[in-house]
Amino acid sequence: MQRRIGLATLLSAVLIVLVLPGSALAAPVAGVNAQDQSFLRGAHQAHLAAVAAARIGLRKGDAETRELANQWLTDHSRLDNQLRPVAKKLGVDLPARPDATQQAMLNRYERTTGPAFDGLWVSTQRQAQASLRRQVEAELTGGQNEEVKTLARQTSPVVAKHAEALDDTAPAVGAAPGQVDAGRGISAGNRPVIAGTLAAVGVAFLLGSAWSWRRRSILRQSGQP
Amino acid sequence: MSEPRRFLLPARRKFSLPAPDRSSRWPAYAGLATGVVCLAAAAIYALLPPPPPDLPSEVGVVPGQSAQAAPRSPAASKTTAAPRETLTVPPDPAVARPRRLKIPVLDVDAVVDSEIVNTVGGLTLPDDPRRVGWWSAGAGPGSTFGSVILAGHVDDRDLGRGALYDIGKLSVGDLIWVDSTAGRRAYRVAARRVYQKAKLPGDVFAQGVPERLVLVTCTSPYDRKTQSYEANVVVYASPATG
Repeated sequence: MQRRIGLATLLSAVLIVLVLPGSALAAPVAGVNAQDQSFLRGAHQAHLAAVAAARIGLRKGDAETRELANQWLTDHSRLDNQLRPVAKKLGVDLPARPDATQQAMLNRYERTTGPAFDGLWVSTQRQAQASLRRQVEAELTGGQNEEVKTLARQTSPVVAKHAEALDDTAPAVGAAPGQVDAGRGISAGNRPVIAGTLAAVGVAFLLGSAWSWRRRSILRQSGQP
Repeated sequence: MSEPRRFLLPARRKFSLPAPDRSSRWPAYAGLATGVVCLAAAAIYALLPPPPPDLPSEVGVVPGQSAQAAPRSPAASKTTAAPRETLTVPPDPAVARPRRLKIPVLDVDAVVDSEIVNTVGGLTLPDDPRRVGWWSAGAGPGSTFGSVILAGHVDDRDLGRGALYDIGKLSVGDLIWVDSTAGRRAYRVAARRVYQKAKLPGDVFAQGVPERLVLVTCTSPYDRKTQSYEANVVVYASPATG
């Protein structure tokens, strides 16, 4: 019986991938819309990826990263433990592992060493938390099932807290620009135009003056007053 | 009928201009003097180094700034020195990329180079100051949270003033538009801050805050020896409602 269910799940998973990517096939109970299913799957993968990232962070990161990683491990495990029974109850299949992008990120953590690791970890976790936050917001606006929406509501403060923790850590691990060097020498602005106009006016006055002088000399020579 | 005469000029034309004395020397002297003054002023404008932009003042309340008072001193960070490795992290495809920055009150309509992929912890600006760069590790316009960071060179010796040259003159409430791959987003200026460049708080780049637009460029004072500006002016704007 167990095996048969397992096989059925596997088959439907294969069908989802092959036939209708991203849409429902596992015949979830009524009152669960596509957004609910997408949130359950997406959030589950996000939790899996976060927990895996945290394990690597604990192993390779410095003190600040390890502090975050511990927080991730606790929070995302708890959220996933709340999510899985809901998905099961509503008949929504959950993916067994993180998606390709998340997996690539995890592989990159393994490859990166030294102080660059912490900057990379914080930068990419920032993206991961932002992505989960978008999914939470999509569920809160477009979801149908109350239980799934409750999960989203429980996730919301956690991702907000994580985003703030990342903000506090980012400058220290070099994941936020320390400086913005935004000048390339003072431009002359409108000064060339002003200088050119003044020079032209000055030359005009000098010419006028010379003309006036010469005219006066002519007048004098011709004996006029 | 004698009434209107009252309004005529007196018979003795006391204030009439003297007939021009064509033999006088004063027009020539005056012309010479004016010409010399103009040329001297032109020389001053052409030869003296141009002044840096005016130092803006600080106004408004920074949106999303946490109540925990002053942001943590960046002195605590140990790695703000030289960027060690050039790791890049491409932006999430789900994040809207800004395309144009429009500031009607300043007559600014600048292209946003959102294709530049920043290194981790770096912010690469377009060489041309008339274009603006986007911090690809931050939020995109229309996300409901996070800082959308746009930065550009204030000016360039050869290319002239940058698109963000005058952002120090923006007032609270001024409208800013950002056109992105997700459409147009309107923001209103909420605050303006000036930070010493070496002490730019990491809070400027915060992503845990409600959505806000952050414009960053350089400003006075200018160090003529190192040929660089010593401060950043930062304008914060919140999404315009309604």
